[in-house]
Amino acid sequence: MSTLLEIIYQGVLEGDQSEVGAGVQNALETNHSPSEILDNALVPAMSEVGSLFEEGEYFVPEMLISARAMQAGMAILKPLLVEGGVEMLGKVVIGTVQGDLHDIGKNLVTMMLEGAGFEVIDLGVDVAPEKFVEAIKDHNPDILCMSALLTTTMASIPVIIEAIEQAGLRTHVKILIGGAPVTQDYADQVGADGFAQDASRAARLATTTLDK
Amino acid sequence: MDFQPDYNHILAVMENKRPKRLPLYEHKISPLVMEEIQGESFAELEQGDDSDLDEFFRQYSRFYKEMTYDTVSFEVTLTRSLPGHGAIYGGMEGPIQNREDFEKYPWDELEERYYAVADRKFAALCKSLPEGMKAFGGIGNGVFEISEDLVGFEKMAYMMADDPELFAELFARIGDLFVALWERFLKNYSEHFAVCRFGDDLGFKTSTLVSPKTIRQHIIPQYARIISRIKKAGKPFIWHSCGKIFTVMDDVIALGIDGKHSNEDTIASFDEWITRYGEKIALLGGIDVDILCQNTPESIFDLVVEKATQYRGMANGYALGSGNSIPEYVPAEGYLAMVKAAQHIRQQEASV
Repeated sequence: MSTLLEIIYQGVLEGDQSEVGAGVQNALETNHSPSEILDNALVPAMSEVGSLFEEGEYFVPEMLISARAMQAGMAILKPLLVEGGVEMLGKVVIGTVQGDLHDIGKNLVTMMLEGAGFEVIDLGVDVAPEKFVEAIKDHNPDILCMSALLTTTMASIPVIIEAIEQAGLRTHVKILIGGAPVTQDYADQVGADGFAQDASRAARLATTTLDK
Repeated sequence: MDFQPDYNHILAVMENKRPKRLPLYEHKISPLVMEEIQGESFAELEQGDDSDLDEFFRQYSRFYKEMTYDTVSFEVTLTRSLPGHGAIYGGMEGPIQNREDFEKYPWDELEERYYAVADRKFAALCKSLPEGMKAFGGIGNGVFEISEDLVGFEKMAYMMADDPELFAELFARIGDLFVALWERFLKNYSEHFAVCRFGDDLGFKTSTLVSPKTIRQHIIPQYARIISRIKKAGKPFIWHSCGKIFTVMDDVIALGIDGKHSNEDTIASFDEWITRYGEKIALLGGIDVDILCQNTPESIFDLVVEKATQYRGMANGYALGSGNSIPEYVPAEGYLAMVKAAQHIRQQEASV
């Protein structure tokens, strides 16, 4: 890794958004390509942030601060990546299920997915089954992520999966679920393709899901 | 059944002793669930005038007695008295985003704003307590929850990085507020409250929401100020906190708490809580809310009899209840099955 990419990588780890923004600008000016900066500095840095979180070294605030720093770099890179026709790792549609207004976990997953190189379409909170179906038709995502914080709202997950099946779209998209009451057993029971217990693992699961 | 409530059973639990009969405990029960069980509407009376409030608490306390509790759980949450409240639920910013917001926030008015609502409720509750019963609770919310409500969780993370001095001052100022609120509460109501508590959710499924270092630096010192006042007033104290918080449990126990409430099976089984901390403090709850929501009354009854018998055998101070609370979405029949299981255990023990 070049010194400039190392500075960006460290800036993300330390959550220093101005360091990352300046580092990306400098790297572009010294002929590093946008995809090189993304693939060799920003994505590995957020992957390391995820590992540190799973190891109990980082906590949610540290992840948020790192994600903000990563986004400072992405704000510069994104138009250049689009202009250059560089494809993102994959496309994800995400939202909390109908009746659930709790967005912190969903926002964290969004940040970690972006940090892993995904394009994320965030439908927000309290998303009705038909909105998820519509979003799959409109955006053709590789993955649909849903979360529910409460036992009661968790019951919306199979309803949404059923709506996707009814619309004939179930084979078009992988479905990953999460949230406080959700377990792997529940994911198996409702026919989801995967479950992750936190944002870091969700990003990793999304990446491995694409490979399947 | 002729049930005679006796709050001394709960006091025994707080001393980490095995009470003569298995007590029931809930952090909160939605009045809507109470209405469904009692067959009478009264929940809306909580927003009414003084006579409405008297009637509300008459029904409220009657419910606890009829369900065979020894104490009546009640708290008045602080968040509702905060101007700009709501960020704790997510989806909006709190009223304090920077130094200027912090300086101009009406901190000095908050105690009066809180007691303008709370005094009427606490007074009506105290009048309603049936013979043999005392209240269990106090000022709802804790230091961390108030910081979440005033700033918002995500913005608080950024504040921690961008303005650590403001972050530190925020927690100290919240601590000042709680100290003032609790001192007034203890002066006016401690006679009617057997046990004091506050709830402050510090964790989620896999860890604490902020690092243990941050908790030790900014939250524990404020807890110490509050808990020392409660203990000085001669009241036992239990801490309600959700999530995987094992990394800071010893720090909180060191403050002299008498008990802990809140457990979720997806994080740790309740017997793990007993194994880890049962020698030091009382543990309340044990029945995951999910169990009450997802199962038939028959299977809930059987499960609760099995689990609560096990927990009562393992722990010293133990009171049976849900691992969190009984919000309106818990089916009334599921909740009732748990209560009946507690009564069944008592009968079994009495017949031996």
